[in-house]
Amino acid sequence: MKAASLILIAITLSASDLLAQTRKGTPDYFVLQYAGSIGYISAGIGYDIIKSRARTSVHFGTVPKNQGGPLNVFCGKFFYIPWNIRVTDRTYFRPADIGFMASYHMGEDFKQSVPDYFSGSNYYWWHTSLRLHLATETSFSVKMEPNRFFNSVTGYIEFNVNDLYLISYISNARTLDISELVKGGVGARFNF
Amino acid sequence: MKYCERLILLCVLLLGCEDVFEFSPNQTFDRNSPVNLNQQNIIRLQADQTDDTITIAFVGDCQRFYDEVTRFVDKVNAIQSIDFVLLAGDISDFGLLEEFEQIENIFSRLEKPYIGVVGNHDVQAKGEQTFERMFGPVNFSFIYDSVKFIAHNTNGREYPPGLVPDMQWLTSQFTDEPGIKRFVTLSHIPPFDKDFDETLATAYSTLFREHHVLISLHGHVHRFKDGYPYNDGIRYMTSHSFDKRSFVVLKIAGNDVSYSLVDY
Repeated sequence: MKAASLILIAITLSASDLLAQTRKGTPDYFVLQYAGSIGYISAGIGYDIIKSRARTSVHFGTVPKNQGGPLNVFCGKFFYIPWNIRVTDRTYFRPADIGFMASYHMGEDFKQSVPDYFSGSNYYWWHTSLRLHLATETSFSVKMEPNRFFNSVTGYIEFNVNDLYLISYISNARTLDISELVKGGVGARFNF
Repeated sequence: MKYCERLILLCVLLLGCEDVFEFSPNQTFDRNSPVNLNQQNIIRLQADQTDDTITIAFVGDCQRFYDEVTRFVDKVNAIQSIDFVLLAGDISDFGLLEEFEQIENIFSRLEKPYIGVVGNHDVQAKGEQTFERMFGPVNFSFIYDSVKFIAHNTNGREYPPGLVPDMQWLTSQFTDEPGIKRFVTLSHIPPFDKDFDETLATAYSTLFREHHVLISLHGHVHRFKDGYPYNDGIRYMTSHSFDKRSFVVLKIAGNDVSYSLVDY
């Protein structure tokens, strides 16, 4: 799990590393999301990278008590964009971006390390605070008129499956339905 | 704009789907989560006609053994004499809502009631809150056919020493009440296991001896064992975990407790 922690750190740090690469020194987009396993509602900032063939972002989400919380989640995402289809002069469709997410739950109920008693054993081999996710996203973008505050607005729907669900599915493929373990979220990106 | 319309339509369709939009794997409930399952099942059980013999399917540790749970449910449904199922904890492996809901989804096909106690895996992350909302309190009791079943949390290693099991609550359950002739206890970790709070093990087994517990039922060790570990006349039994594909059919008739193992 040390490797997993490093991946999370790498994703989150990559955003700040990319700061120097951006023309304006500010993030390329602001993002708001509903659900998607990183909060009832979450907000984040991100950068378009590799000549807009990929993007990376950091998010903070929260789940209120009346929605199954309270929970606070920090998340890093990386998505590769294989297809970017121009529909009209101002509209683009991205059918299937492929991504990786790492989410980190904050709070004393979540263990960053194995308790002392279990040290040296693999009894609780997973970290309750850190989840790794595979994800896909389908989105539609509209370029705004010149001189607007945002250059473009993107609406998206995202699906993810986390490591523990996937492990459960692999050993119980006859009983579990993978479609029940894939979780969704919808959101909007506002490119500056 | 047809893509845009399709995307909006897709979102609207998905919004209507159950449980697609997850807020967190660690959320303690969603809009479709069942509540108070143990209490509901106890009411169902107590509404049944009783006879001289209580027949229980006793099993534990279904954590991540979904395929086996399905086979178990089919087997139990084929045995008409079973009055109810006792599940000795570790319902989930990671303490996640999705796990509890998947297991409940399979167990809901049982024709007879099932009653579950909390295991150490069930209290990982937000699991204890999830269990309490879906199944009910971690310490509870019920009376069936003149036997008081005392189900409780013994996952002591997950809490500061001296707190779990809750000895004060446990002591308060052993009271002389009309209609109660015998006590049977159910918890996940047995007192002779290293994961039981060692500061409470002696007081726990002494309490059971003083109140002549008929049999103390547990999970956690993942294999069937039956005996008198303290040589004090109190019988302790542990269940197979689901991967062993074998459960205990326990028959309680007066002071006689007999069992058979059923493979599935």
